[in-house]
Amino acid sequence: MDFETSAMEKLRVDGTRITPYIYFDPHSGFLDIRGKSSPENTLQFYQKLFDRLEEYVVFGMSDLTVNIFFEYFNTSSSKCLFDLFRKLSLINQTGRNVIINWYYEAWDEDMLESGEDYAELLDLEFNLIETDED
Amino acid sequence: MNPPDQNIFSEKVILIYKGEVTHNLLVNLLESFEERLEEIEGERSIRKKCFNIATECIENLRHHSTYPLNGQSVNMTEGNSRSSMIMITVDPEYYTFLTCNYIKRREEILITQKIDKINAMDSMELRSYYKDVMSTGGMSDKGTAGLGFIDIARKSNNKLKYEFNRVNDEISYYTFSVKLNRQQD
Repeated sequence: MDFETSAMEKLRVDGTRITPYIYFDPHSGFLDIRGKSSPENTLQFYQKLFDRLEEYVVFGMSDLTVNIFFEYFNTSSSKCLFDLFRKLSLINQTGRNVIINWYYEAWDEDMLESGEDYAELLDLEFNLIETDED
Repeated sequence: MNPPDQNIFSEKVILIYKGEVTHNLLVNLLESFEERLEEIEGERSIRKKCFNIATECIENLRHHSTYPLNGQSVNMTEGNSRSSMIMITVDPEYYTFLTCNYIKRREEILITQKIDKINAMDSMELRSYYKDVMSTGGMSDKGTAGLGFIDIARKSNNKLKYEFNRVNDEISYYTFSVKLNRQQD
């Protein structure tokens, strides 16, 4: 496998009723995750994204904008999200600016709280963005 | 003859299942539960809390139900010994979540310690405990993060109840329940 080439590949995973939509474009420095997350095997589900981000730590050139808009995630996903943010911190610490946009619906205080908790635990720029009710 | 207790009629069962819990079954159960909730509960934030609690309760059954390898030793069939049960009811004031399953008796002490610790905390302490476990704890081989009870306590804002009934020297029948108020403060 050509590791350097693989580091530059986009990742797109379609959402299902229990897994989120994921789009990662390492060229433009953009990561988008949205939907629901309660996979059968959480670690296995997020592993592909984790691998790409680990490659990005080494090969990625651009700053990263990360948009996250969850409708729902279970507790094992919340742990995986923390691990995801840790990888993003590493990218941030090694010279590329990482901005997290954490979207939540106006009525969903629990989702706002989760965003606040991650923001407090991690040394990353976190924007908590309220969206209108649909 | 005494009149029937009105509570019996004001309480509705919105989900009941008894049997082995697999991932596919969990997905289907939660989907039909979500549909029922749409009909019953007008408040979106309560619907979501309800869905959260139900998910973690059923995940607990899927990951932590232990059944005797030799079902005959506790005088039950192999099918019965694999069984878990979940029942979710609603009345004008509360949603009530009840789960029952078999566990190894040595796990009683772990569950007791975990729940007693959580029940002794207020909401701010629970929030910080959740963050602590999430950021410092690992993931088990089963893919669980040890956050389920904390999340249920946070979302329900009520104490968690549990009970163990001894089946034999190795196995206990474990009952867990929690309530969620329909009117939030």
